Amino acid sequence: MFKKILVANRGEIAIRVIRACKEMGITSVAIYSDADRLALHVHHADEAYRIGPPPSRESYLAIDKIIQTAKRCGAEALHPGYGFLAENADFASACDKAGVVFIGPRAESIRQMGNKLEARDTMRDAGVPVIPGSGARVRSPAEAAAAAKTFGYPVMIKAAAGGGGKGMRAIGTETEFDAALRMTMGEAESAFGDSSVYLEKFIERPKHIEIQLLADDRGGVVTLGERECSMQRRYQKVIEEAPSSVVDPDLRSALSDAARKAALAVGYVGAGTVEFLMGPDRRFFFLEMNTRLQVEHPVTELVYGFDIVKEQIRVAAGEPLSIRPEDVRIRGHALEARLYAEDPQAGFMPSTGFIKQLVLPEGPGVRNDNGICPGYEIPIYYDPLLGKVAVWGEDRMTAIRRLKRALLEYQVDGVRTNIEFLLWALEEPGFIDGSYDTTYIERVFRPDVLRGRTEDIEIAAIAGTITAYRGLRRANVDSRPDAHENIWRRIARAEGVGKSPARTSPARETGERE
Amino acid sequence: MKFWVKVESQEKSVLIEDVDGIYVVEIDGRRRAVDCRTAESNDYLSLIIDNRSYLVESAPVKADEGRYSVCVSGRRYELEIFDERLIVTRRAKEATREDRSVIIKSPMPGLIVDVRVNPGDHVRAGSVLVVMEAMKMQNELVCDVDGIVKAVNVKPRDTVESQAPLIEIGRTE
Repeated sequence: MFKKILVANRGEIAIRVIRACKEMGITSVAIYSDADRLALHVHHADEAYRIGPPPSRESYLAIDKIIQTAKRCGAEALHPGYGFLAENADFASACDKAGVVFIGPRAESIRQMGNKLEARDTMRDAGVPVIPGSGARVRSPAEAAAAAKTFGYPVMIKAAAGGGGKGMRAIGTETEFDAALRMTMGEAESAFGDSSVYLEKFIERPKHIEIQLLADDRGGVVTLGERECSMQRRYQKVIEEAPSSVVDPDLRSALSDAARKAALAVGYVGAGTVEFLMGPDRRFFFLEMNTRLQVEHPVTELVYGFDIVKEQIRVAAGEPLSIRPEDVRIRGHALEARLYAEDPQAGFMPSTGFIKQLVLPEGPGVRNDNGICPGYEIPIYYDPLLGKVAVWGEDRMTAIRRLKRALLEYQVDGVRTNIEFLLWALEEPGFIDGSYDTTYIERVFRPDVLRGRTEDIEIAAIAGTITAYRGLRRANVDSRPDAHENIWRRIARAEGVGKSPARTSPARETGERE
Repeated sequence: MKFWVKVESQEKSVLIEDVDGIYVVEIDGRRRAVDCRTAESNDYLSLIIDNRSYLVESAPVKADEGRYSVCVSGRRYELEIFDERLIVTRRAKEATREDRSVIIKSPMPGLIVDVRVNPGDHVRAGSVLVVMEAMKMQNELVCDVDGIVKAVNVKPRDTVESQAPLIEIGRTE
């Protein structure tokens, strides 16, 4: 087994991997950019190395610097987390060349699945159902429009190098085509350094169902059931759950067989997720394979009781999977909500700021994968995911109530979050009855659904007025001629007021938030 | 002391009085005794009203403009709260405001990806002015008035801070 692992990531996922390392007796090494010196993953790690300036290209995407750091600190292996370099085949190859074990599949498997078009062909040949599409990348608007005509609107434009919901757009009619294409190509260029895109027939109102699998280098493949991730906004997953309300044992085994075929077709090793789109008729199509640990892996861990990250590490060290297929049994229900630094009342605009206070939910059945801490400033450079809260319950309704309860316990002071949006989603009839599909939020959500309850509005008015009143009283005290007299006298006076609720130390209070 | 509170497009007048450490608050014609203590950090208040318990986040955003932000049951409320003095200064400001131009500000720190307008362009509510990128997402900034572009203060690849003035638009009626 490895003695030291470098975690080439940041935020909650770096902490997730560091925790697995610690429990396995492996020394963990964090890397950090200048924006992340006070980030929580640095606090958790045994060792920490500065990797560069804040922009990702100069830090968490800087292949040479990361590999040099791994060599310098004596790490035998490197865990890429998700995002950043996790699905970069060149990075996996560079690790191989440098003699550092990449904790993930072989570079060739990443390449095969990373090229969405090649993956599509490989899957079709392996007997996995695929969506009708352009079948080739298109580089110009004219070429793209011509391709779209052949299989008809609605169509989906996808970045050839994309994934995880980044760099894709659905369009219903030809008139929207040019603008959507330009934006997708622009995003693809800035996110992946490759602006080429391809087109697919758009499956209307699909569910997003994915199969978690693990494979070792001896041909062992274990599937850990499905997750449903159909609660999405702009193709970003918001709430995930396991199992899906619409998947019965027969469908589960059909999906698992397709996922197994996908893995075997590319000689897959490690943890991976095969994503499917499922129409209302329950026919499913291969969407993509994520050749890495998935953000929502905790829901699978909660219902199956295995540690996916530890299995990744074991397999990377050449050991067989410790999970036997006969031990794979589902128990209860799990849900996960993603906390983003964004403002649901302002078009989900990303929010940055200094974290003054953080209180995480606790209690039965609650798991936090949190990435922030007080004293940390949320930077503009990276993904706005703050953390995840996952819950387990004996059944789905228990889990839903538990997640609501947990979200109400969350307190993040200093940055806007999507908590009120998550609370809304959990109360939606279409979510509760399990009928929701990936278009649900887009169809149902309007900013005014977040309108507050009458009682809460009154409490807000009372609390705000008290804050304003206290601010004015403090200002009056400070402007009195004796305001700068002996501090002891002022305290004595405050003590003299005795039961005054405003008896907080003036020195601790700050007048303004911004 | 009297305050005017605007929340969720409702306007309320609120009377508040400190009576032996308990706030007596009159709101919507109802008098309520509020036991309020600072909890955890300065931005959190523990309120007990008629034995109902609330933990709320409450802090000024810009006290001199009467802007406050309060979070109750996971939901955030933006409030405008004025005392008599603020109302007077606000009226005075409004009376002197003759300039009809609108400044489109950056809602977040980020990178300018594209500028879609030039000075002199006619724009309408809904026109895309600027495309910005922050936290790996591109966002279109849309004009909310009809008018003529008076000034463009940014160009593609510029990095801007939150609230930076990007585009100035002269309103047309």
